[in-house]
Amino acid sequence: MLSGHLSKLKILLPVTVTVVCIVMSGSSALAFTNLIQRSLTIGTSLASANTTHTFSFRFPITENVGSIMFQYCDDPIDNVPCNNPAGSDVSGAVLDSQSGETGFAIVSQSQNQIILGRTPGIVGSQLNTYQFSNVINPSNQGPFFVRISAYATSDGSGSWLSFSSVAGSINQQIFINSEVPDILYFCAAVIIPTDCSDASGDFIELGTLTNSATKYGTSQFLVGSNAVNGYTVSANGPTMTSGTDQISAINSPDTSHLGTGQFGMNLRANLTPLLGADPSGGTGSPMPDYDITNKYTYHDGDVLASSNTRSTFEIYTVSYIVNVSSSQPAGVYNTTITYLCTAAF
Amino acid sequence: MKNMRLKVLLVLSALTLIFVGFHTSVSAQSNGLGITPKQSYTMQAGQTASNTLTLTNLNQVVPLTVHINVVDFEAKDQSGSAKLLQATDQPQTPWSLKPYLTIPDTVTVPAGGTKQVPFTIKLPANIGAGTYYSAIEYTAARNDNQQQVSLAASTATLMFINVPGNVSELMTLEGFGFTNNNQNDSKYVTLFRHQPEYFAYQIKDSGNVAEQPAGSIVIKNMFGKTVANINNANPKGQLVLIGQTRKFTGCNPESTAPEKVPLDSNCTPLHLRPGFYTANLVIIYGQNGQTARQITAVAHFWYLPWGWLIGIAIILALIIVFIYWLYRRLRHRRHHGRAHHA
Repeated sequence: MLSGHLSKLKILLPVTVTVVCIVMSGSSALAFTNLIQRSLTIGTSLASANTTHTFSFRFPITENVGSIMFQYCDDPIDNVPCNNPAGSDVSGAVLDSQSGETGFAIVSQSQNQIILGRTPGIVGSQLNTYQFSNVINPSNQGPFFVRISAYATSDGSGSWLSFSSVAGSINQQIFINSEVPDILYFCAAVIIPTDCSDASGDFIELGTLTNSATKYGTSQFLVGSNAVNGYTVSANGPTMTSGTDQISAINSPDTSHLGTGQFGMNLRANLTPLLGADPSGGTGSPMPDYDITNKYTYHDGDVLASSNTRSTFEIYTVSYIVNVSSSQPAGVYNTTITYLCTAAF
Repeated sequence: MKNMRLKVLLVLSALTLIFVGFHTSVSAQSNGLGITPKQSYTMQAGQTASNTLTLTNLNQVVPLTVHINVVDFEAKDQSGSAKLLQATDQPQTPWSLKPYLTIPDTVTVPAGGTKQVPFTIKLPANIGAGTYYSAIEYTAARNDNQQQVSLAASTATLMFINVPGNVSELMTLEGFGFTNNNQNDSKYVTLFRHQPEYFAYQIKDSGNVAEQPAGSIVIKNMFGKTVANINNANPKGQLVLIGQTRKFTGCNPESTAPEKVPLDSNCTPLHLRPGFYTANLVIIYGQNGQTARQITAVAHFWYLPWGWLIGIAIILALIIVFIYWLYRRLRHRRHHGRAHHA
């Protein structure tokens, strides 16, 4: 009897979970009746500027509209609290002009909200435009949102008929130099004892390459930046060549093999051979292929290291290994590796 | 005695030569650069504007000679890494700033000093609306003699110019979910054993504007109640370049102070109760005066920590044991009653 109940329970549980999932999926749909072709035109996108904001949109369906609310928020979604974007103020805004659905006047306003009202009337499908002057822009660079909702009542009360948001953005205008700019510091050298001021060496001497010994060496690069998106450092240049002879770059991370043509690098402390060091300082890290102890690789243009946020000075040590294949002649092989550091966008 | 003096002199001379030689070979050129990494401006078609870029020589002893080159770039992958298009036969990109930007080819910065490098952007009157971008690459001059593995350093300023007007804007969502970290290679996760904290979404830009999407995320529990709201879905103001599919990452912020929002350290778990959750992403984009467009996406995930699961398993086991005990007891009583009745 008990086993019978248990088998029923086994069937019931997955069914219940499935039903709950379906119900929950259904409840997650966003029930927006969107205003269409909506836009916001800002007269001047400077922070804290006293300017004009012009809203345009069409109503999605024929409906009886008595009021329209414009609410300035740091979030576009209707059912989450609306916080006024820092510095934004529309309490003194004036309705300069209106077209399309007309007859509106400001019935109430506050620091982040304007309600236009009129005697309720049926709206058409034409483009409607409302321009406000004496609007104070937010004080921070970046996006802000205006939630636009239409109501059947004349004062913005009751539930909305149509709702949508538009995004505005406070930008840096052409050639304003008053703010503290981002800075990126970078240098590459054989040795960087403390920072770029005492970096020294611009080549690594490996001597004559033969197939009887692995040649190796190290160099370093330093990066530091206050850019919020961080940086990337790539290595650019061909593998080592001597006349028409070329040493194969290691295609995927691999250990050093004597007698096999190999040119590769990594950014870790290694034991075979004993060279290199792990990165020190900062918030960046080597890319996975260059982050394996005792394994080396190289592709022209590969990103070696990156940080996705601000970083204090970080020193990376690049370990190079070179092996010459038994079919290749011994000799002096050359290359130039250019380390390129750019901010992430 | 003379021989002795000569020997000492020779050794000293040799040491001096070695030192000077070594010093010359390793410090002939500085390559320590300090630059402005990114600049974004808005300019009207037909407008001409001039400004300067800051270039600092980080070496306190040696002057820095820098070769400056304007190079097109594109996104390297789904991250914010720039791939400079340096091939000699590289065709100019449709979004290139090269034809409109003039800047000196070479600049020398004194040791430990800073120089303002002037540049001018001259946009033609008939230039189309959209975003134009190129990189201004600075390469520290070095000895021309190639010696085994020669090292060079270069950096670049990424320059973006937005030309307002009737732009083409189209972004499509290619993925959304919560993840285990804020790294670009993070995978979307549907079952969390620890409190979720990080989110990610992928957007493809098929327009002619480098877009900076803005939006928010609302998280609802299985009863449809909003339990959390992340009101900045692009906390670092990252861009998706023309033609790129970009992965944006972020987290539930501990502080909403503007100066803290972009920081990776400003992350805190969502503090959810175990259960099933739905996350709604709303992204709004559109240049000033252009039609606003909206992208919405829904993702689901479970939060089921091991401790909670073990607790539930124990409770279920206890209920089953109790039911079994009750069943045995009722059966025993019925059997006993029948026997008594007989």
